[in-house]
Amino acid sequence: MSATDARPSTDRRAFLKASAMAAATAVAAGTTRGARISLPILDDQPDTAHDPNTGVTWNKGICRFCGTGCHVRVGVRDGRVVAIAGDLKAEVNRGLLCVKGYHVGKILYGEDRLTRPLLRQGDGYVPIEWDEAIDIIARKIMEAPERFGFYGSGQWTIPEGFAANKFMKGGLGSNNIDGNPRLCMSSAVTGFLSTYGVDEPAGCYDDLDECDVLIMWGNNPAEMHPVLFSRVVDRRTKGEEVTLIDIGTRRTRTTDLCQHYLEFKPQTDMAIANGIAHLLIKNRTYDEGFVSRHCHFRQMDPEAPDRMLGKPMSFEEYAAAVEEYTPERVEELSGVPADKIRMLGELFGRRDIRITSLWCMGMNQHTRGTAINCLVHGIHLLSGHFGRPGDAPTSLTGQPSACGTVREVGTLSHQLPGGLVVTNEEYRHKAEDLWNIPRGRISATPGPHTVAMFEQLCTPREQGSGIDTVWVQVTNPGQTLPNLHKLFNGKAELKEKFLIVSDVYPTATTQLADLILPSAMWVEKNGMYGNSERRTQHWFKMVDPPGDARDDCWQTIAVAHRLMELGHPGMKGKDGKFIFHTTDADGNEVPIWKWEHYYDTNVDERLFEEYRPFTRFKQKDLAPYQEYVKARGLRWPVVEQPDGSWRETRFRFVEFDDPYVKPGSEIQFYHSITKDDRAMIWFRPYEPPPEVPDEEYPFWLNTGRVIEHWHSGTMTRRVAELHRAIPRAYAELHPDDARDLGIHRGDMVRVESRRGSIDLPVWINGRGKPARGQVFVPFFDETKLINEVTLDAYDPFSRQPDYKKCAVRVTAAGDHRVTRGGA
Amino acid sequence: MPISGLVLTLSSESRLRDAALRALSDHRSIEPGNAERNRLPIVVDTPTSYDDKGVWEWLHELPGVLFVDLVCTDNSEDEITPELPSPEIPRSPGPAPSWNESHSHNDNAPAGRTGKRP
Repeated sequence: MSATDARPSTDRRAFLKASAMAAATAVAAGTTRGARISLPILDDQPDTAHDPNTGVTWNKGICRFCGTGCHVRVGVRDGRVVAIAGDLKAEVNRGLLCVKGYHVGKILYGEDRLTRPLLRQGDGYVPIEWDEAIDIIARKIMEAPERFGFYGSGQWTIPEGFAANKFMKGGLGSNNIDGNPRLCMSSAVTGFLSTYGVDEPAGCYDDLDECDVLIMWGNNPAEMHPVLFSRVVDRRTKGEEVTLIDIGTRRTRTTDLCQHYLEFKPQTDMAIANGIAHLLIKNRTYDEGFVSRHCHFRQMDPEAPDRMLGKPMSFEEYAAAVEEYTPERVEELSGVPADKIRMLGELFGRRDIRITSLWCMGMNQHTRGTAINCLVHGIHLLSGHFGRPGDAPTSLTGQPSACGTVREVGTLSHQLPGGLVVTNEEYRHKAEDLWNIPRGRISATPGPHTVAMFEQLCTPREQGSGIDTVWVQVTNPGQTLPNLHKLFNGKAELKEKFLIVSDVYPTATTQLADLILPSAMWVEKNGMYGNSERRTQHWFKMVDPPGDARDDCWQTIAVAHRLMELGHPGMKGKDGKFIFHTTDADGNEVPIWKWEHYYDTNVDERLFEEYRPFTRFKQKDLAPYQEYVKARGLRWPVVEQPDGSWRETRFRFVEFDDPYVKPGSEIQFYHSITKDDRAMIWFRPYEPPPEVPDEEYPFWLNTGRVIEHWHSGTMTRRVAELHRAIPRAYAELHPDDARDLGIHRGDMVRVESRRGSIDLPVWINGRGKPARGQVFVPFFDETKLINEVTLDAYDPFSRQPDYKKCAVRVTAAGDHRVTRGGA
Repeated sequence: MPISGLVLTLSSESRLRDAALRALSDHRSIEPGNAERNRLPIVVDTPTSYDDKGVWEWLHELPGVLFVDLVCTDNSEDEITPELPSPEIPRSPGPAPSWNESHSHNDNAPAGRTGKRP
């Protein structure tokens, strides 16, 4: 019995209330930076602290959900997570959490956690032992390594992603590995690469504290990144003048807190950005000095339309190209009044203010995602709103380690760790040398991107498919892929295909799995994430996983070792040792492929230290593992100082903060695609979307998220409070459209496209208010798969699909009505 | 029986702010603290986690409250009885497997400060 249990319950509750009030007061007072706060359990304590009053041991952790990367303190008692607190020491969230983070501890305890490996047998599954499961996977791969694909996500920890990438590219010599960030932020990647020659934002969350104007491009941070948005709202209510502008296609909770809402027709954000550029040039308010010192102009090459980096253009050609985007023309295209376009042009033309742009899925899930990303970077560069704190174009991510694991570790089909690419021989050799594998083992041919991988899984071998077996870890493509009938459901009929799914709960993906592996999650294992502001974060394992659930990273290593036993030559390095060979302090091999020995050493640390040298090639330097143990994350590049300390970088490419910028150069884009330290200002014309509403399918369909549920809802739908708040998906309609259709709040409607249909209850004038002619459906609900309706068209460079617009019709679905919470 | 610490961002418009403060003071599950300019710390003490979420929703709708941030929660006295998502997936390949094997003891103890088993 703990000391707490011995205390009278009222005393304990009074103590907990006092602690909660102290924590909230400290956060409200804004005393979280550098101040000493007297809190009984939450601060001024070591990172790991046992509180005798409650029997709770506190450890530092990272929220499991979005890319904000909020730091949490995790309270454990009797081997179970019992309490969560925002981390007062964390710069990211300063003690705050959103409703999902607040409930994050409960995601571990859904009643249907997977606890045994399960093998499909006929129409059902039978439990099997881990040894058998690992052997089945290894033999499947041995049958045809080149027909095997690995699919992960930005929920892989950094070491997990590194191990998976090495296993595939360095072991099997195959680039058939991709991740679901392909579905959420790969257009941001191609935008950064096209503009700066290197991925990820130059700025950081500090920009939110310094900007005078915050523009949200198709972005709803009040619900999707609420802790970040509250920083700005807080500034305004304190009396600071911060102008918030929501450029969107649907009114949201973000809109309610903005001074300006500019509602545009889907896809026409490109016209708006070009309209701003037009005004900057016409009014001669662009920053001539900044542009002449630091930028070039660029356009697509009609002779080589597949070449992402296009060709140069002169300033005069650029000016001529944007000439047609007058405010009136932009109004005609976008529906945004010309005076609002002028307002944006005037704001960008001012030198005395600082402007931050934020975006996420609205710009990335776009068939011209690369283009709109480039255009928004372009207006910041053209106007000189770049490089000062508060002047930044910044993309946000939806997964906790989309940046850290996928973009940095390179778990996409064309990448290697550290921002290297497989198509470059020099980079391949660098990777082969660091991995101690023979030169030539890494394939120069990019593997299939996400849509292509699953299209091949659903295509019979005799029709040319190159993929027979796919292993999915930490994600749920059976719910999140677009056009599911084409890209996922078709697998059910193909007996020669084999789907392996490692997950924590049954999902829409496990429904078609042939082998299901139970995984450990979050604080049931060690981990590291990298958030949206280049911050690498760390936590230690705190509780055991249930039953026989095991770490994803162990699963990968165990399969690699079994392949070595079966004679696969790629599972050995040049020295003849296992590619994940690990030794203890005395130099003795630790058999980490055996689960009972996996935690005899810190596998994460061993993999992270192997990964670190890769990060120096593109100036994304990471500090030693132990530095992250001590810190609440560090933003790369993290560079060692003469005194042996490690210094993070808040703002890249600027002399005042980035150690890689040459003294005296003010700003240096040191990965410039033109090799002269300049960034590119792109012209990309407005282009219509591939599918637009017509007489048969007269509505736009827009899909997205709700604050209570994270992505496909696998975790949050197991948290009773969140599930009960929003138990199932719904269709938002404009009241006038509902009236025209004779539909009332709570009625069932059928949302139907050329690809599929789904019946949903209607919500009118709820949280979100779509424009006339648009229907919005969230995708979190595995019982209402809206992605059976969406379109699988994708951006030609990022290969990211467009979930934000396709044509549907909406009709009454029978005469039955439903009652739903909140509707 | 969860106990939660929250921070509310209040409107700078005095009429709305005062009305919100009155409503908060009158709510039996809410204990307001001392406001720091526009930010008000509160503690929410409810009998069940459902009530806790209900209070959070109520706060979101309360005029004069611009933003609700959560700081900490203690669920150690909370019965965890999640409702499971209804299994209505149309492409189910057959009878649902028996997911709920009893949780056998795993000898993989918490790793502690070094990230490896002590």
